[in-house]
Amino acid sequence: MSSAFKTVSEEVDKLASNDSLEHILADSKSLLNNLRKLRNDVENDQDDMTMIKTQFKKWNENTLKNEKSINKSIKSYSSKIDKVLNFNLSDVYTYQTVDVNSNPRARKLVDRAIVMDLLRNGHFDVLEHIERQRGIKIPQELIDKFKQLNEILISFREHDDLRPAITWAARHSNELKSIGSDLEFNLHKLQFIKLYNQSKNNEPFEAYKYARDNFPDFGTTHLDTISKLLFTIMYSSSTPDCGFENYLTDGDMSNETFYNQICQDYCSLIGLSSNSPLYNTLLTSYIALPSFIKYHRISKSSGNLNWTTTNELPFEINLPPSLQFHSIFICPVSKEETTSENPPMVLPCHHIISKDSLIKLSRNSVANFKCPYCPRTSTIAQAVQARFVNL
Amino acid sequence: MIHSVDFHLQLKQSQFRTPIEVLRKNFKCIQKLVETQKSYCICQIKLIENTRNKQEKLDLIDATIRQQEMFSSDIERMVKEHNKYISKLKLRVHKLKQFQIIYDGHTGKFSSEEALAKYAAVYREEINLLLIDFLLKSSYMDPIHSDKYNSGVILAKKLGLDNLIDYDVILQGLEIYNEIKFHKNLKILIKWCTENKKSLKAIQDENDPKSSLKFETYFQSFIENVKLAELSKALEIASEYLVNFLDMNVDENLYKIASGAALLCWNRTYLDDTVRPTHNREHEKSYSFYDQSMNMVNQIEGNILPLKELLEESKWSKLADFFLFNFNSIYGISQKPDLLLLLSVGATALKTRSCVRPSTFSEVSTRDINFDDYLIDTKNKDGRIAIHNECPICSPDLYELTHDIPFSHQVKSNIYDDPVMLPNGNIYQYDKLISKSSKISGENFDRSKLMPAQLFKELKDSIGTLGKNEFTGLLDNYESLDPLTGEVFKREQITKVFPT
Repeated sequence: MSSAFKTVSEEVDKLASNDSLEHILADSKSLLNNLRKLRNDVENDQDDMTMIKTQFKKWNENTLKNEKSINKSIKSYSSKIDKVLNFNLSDVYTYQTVDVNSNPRARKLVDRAIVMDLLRNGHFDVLEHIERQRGIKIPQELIDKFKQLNEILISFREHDDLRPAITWAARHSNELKSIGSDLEFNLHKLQFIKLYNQSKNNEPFEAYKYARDNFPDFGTTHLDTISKLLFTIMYSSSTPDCGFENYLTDGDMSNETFYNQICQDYCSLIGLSSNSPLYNTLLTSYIALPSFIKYHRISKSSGNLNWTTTNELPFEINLPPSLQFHSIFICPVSKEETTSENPPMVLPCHHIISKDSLIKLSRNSVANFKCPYCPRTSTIAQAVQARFVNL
Repeated sequence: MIHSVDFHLQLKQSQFRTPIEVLRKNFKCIQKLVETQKSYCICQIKLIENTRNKQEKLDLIDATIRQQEMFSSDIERMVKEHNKYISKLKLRVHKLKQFQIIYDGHTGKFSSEEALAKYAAVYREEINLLLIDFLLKSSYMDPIHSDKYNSGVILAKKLGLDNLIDYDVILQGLEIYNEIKFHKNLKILIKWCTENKKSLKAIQDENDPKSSLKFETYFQSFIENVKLAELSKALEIASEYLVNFLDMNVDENLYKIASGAALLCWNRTYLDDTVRPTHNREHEKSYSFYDQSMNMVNQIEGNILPLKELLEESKWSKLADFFLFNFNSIYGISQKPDLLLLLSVGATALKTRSCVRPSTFSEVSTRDINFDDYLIDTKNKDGRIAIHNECPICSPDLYELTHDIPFSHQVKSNIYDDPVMLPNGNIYQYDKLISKSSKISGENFDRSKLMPAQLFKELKDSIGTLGKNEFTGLLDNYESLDPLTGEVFKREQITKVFPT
């Protein structure tokens, strides 16, 4: 299956195992030693040159042999690699590309997208160089926002300290709730578990006190979880294997998930998409590219695949749900994607078709018509324009 | 989803091509050194043999020893360089094994989504490499550039990826590129052409037998001499180098040399004088058909324009571009930064006809690019946080960039289960609408200490407009709030819809 990789790794091994160059070096050093010996001999009035001559001849022969060997290895690697590495991205993606050479504005936009990605990842030191070298000015306000995020994440990840995150979440409690985020509660939960685990062997008062101080505010929304957590305190200290400890580890409690949730919610609160657009798009490309390769292969072998719709890919790409950002509604009548010009329309029977189809069915909005999916008849005036919203 | 490690290998082939070219060059250097050392030794041994005087003999041996010492340390340095690249190759193979583990080990076990989440770090590294590659390759346009502080190199080192990208080779190519483009340095180019004679020939045969970097280089040198009015030097280049390209049966070269020769009888000022009036004559073109003399003027223009092009500054950037093409081909470096191609691939897969420019963006203009779009106020008028469009194509980062990229091809609806419509036409997934709604309304039970006074008032106001009694005007469980618009509807107004 992965034949190219096999070839490449074999070739690398072969090349790496060729130690001819080491021999060349060793031989050259031994010739040097022989020269030194010769000097000694001459110093002591024994000027016999036959010795050095044979040694020189030997050096010459060996070096030549070693040169041949390494040369052969390099050549063989090159030709094998040339054979298996034959993929060319621009052969496969033949559509309009983002181009920066002819378009200085595009180059600046790419730079900006990269800057945003690096900001999200906290590479402030690298950004200083980029600013200077590429003539970009990043507003201090923006940098400060991401520096704050970075501090929260670093103390969480490197020092296992949740307090900065909790302080931040408490300050933005309402905003977090309004975007439907449980982050604040989850952070308290994590902190509770941390305290609990620290003091488990003694008395879990620390955790209990923490719970009393912080959980009441979440009673209306998370009562179930809270009772489970506190329940655990009562039981676990006396019966270690009672199984209730599961409550303390269940769900999406891995640090990585938390880390991502903090990142995403923070970005949402400052009005940015939760993940880096550049990152998500490049990630998508890895999923989409095989479809391009497949289409390229088929169109090459079949010679001619006619495709008339301009500015649209000739094939479908299946993306996982996490990379589908818009609700796509294909009109069941016309099989066309609905857009803002041709929006979905809800009929009185609650079936949905596109506006173009509706106009056609109603013969330019004059006639009553039957819904294509049920017996009910309606007029165009009864249809309601709708919009699919993703939450 | 990609099913094998080969896919990634193909995308990263320059990781395995560049080093071998470096190794090959390094080996050629060793060969040359050995050759020189050999003839030197033969010579010295003979001399030593034929010298009778002991002291002279010792002096000769000492010189030989010194030379051999230098030779050995040179070889040692080159062997080190060789081993450095070998270990890079090994490391790269090792890195690729990660993908083999991902794909071969779990075929069928994961959906692509799970694989993405599980191996996010691996993909993040791939993407970081793309960023580094772009930062490196586009650095020639930087207002300030220095190899040491190149932001691509700095990022690579910071992320510990500097062994996965041959930045020194990339930057070396760009340095020559800049020398040609901005300093009109032909010497460095001629030197490079000679060093890479064999490989250049191969590239020429493979791509376009008619275009030769060497020819273009000498031709440029010829033109420069004409510009400086160094005619004898120009002719010298012509007779020494350019003629060699004549017998290749290539018409184009003949034509180029001929037009170059024509330059000999004009100089720049003369050409400028002849061509300059063109701009004022646009309107005369229409009736020039009837005017014999205008016809002639147009003809002269037509003849002279190509000559003028030869003298243009842009000729230098073309030459520099052509050099870089050859340089990249030799080292197996992709001509365009892969970031841009993959960005296009990803963007076209994501781009739907519903992708719109968010209204919060500042106006598109020809203004310089800034970060204003990232500093907008995120709240709605009524104090709720706006619902974000998570789509990368709709983001300020990529919206304008991906404007000309084709749309994806959609054949399937991806509407959620249980869609419900509010009276304003907005359709939501029922569960999400209710949970979101209750989260927001939950705040009301929750005493006003968590509720900003202003949001509280807004909510009350909006309820007021629906004609509800203000004293009972808390959002109760029998009502629902449109998270997008903030409108409040009775639950009975929510209707189930059937997208088929």
